[in-house]
Amino acid sequence: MTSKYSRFDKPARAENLYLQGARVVDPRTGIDQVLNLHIVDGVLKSTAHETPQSADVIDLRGHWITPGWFDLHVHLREPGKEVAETIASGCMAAMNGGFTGIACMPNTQPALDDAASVNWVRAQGKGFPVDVNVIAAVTRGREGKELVEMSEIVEAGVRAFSDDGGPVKSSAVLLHAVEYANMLGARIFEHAEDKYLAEGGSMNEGEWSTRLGISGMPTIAEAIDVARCVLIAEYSGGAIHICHVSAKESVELIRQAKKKGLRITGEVCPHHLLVD
Amino acid sequence: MSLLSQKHMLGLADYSGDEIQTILDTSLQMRDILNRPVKKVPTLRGVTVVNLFLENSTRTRTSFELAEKRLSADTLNFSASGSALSKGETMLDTALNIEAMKVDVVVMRHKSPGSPQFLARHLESIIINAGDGRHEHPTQALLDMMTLRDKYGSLKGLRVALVGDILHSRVAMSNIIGLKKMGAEVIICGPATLIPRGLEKMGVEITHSLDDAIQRADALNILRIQLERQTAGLFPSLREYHKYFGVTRVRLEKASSPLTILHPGPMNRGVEITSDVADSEHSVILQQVTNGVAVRMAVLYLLAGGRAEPSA
Repeated sequence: MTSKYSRFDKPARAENLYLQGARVVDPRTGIDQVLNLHIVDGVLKSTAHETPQSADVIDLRGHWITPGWFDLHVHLREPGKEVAETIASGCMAAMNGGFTGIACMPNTQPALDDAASVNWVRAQGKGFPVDVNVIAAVTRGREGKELVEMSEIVEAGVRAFSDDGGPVKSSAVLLHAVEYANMLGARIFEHAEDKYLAEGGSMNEGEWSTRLGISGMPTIAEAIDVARCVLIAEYSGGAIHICHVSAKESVELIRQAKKKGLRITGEVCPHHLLVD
Repeated sequence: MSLLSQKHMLGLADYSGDEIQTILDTSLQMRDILNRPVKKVPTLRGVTVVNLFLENSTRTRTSFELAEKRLSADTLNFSASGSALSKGETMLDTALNIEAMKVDVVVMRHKSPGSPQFLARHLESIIINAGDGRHEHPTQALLDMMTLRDKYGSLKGLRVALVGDILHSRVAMSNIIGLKKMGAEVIICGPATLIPRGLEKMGVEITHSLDDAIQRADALNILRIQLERQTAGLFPSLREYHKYFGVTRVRLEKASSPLTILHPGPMNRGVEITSDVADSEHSVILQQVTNGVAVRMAVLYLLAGGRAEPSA
């Protein structure tokens, strides 16, 4: 979708703004229709049909207006890999895509594994109209050995911990992390993957990995770790969130866990759902 | 212009049975040239071919180079070590730089599957795949088919067993694709851990019994087994592999009629094949090597022949 109006080269005044012809979708109120919105001093005043006097008019025909979106799993790559992404470029991308809140993963270099680094990232994101939340590492340096100072990090406003980029390999460490985080009202986000089964793989293992000659990863590489998380959640009473679920076996395990009332949640990626 | 429907040879998956037939027929004419006292024709005079081998190869690179020289092409060899690639240049930049020196054909080998497809999207040159990871090795399958056709006249209905490490074998994949297109039956034989998932969907029969494969096949194409697969835990030992999947004279003698023995090389004598089999009268392993040059001449001629100046 192209717009003749770029949201960045012509800053509009929220004091008196007329948004024309967008499809307005608001699941909370059940609205889904084309409307003209008149905004005064940052607050929706009316759904007027006439263009108000001296308002900045933005033609949004063919566009949508929705509540701000939230992305629970982003990588801002800063510090350490600024060539790929920065906090600023990530926030701009979020804003462009309609996301008003993001949660970034801690697999930077160094890892976001203490309150100081968490606070630093959030401070860098302050200038953008996007809420930057930080998911802190589960273990120091994401090495899978020692727990980070979770209490202090939670006190700094963090609610989730993850060694994303890879799994927490040791089940003992994972269990202790879930228990400790649960005490603090936080949860663990697990990048579910059996490293031994997934090693060297670049795509789902099956007929097409064979035809293309690309090393495959079996779906059970993910599901085996999901099963481990379900058992740990049940044993500990803690909460675990499964990142980027991509295997049907994992979905089935999460579904069963939810039916049992366990505190297991999951997320999926659009490209896993939409790209064949 | 190419004399085939394809501009490149990226894999046999892109080629029809008729086109494979054309290549095999042309290969016979090329082999006649190889048998002459003066083994050189001016067909590709003025055509420049780069052999871009970014993974080690002796046999295939030599075979291509000889095929190019027999057709009077100008050739240039390029390997990863000692090149800018070892200084951190990307493969694409290296290829673009070579192409900027005005070459016509790039023969390439690379460890990553799909790398010839990738270069074909970015270069103007004709790309010939000389092996991309475990994906395809089309000229090897063509020379295997040429050798089988020499022996049996036609591939239709021929039963060919591929024995060994199918999982890591680009030779196996191209043979499966090519043989199926030519109407042959393909039997796959190897330990379960060395047979990739979903292979049964490619219309092959799979067996884990070498005796069974020998009973049913007219020819065996025996693939090289690498020690590193043992250390990766895919099979217990070379000793056990040899005992159950090594092709020996004793096993072959159980067949009702003699089987033709192929091996793409390099052989591990005493592992996947014993010397008495490799050197037997039913072995066509060295004919494969001769046919390799002929097949590569045919592919070069059919793809790049239209580019050459008309010979006087």
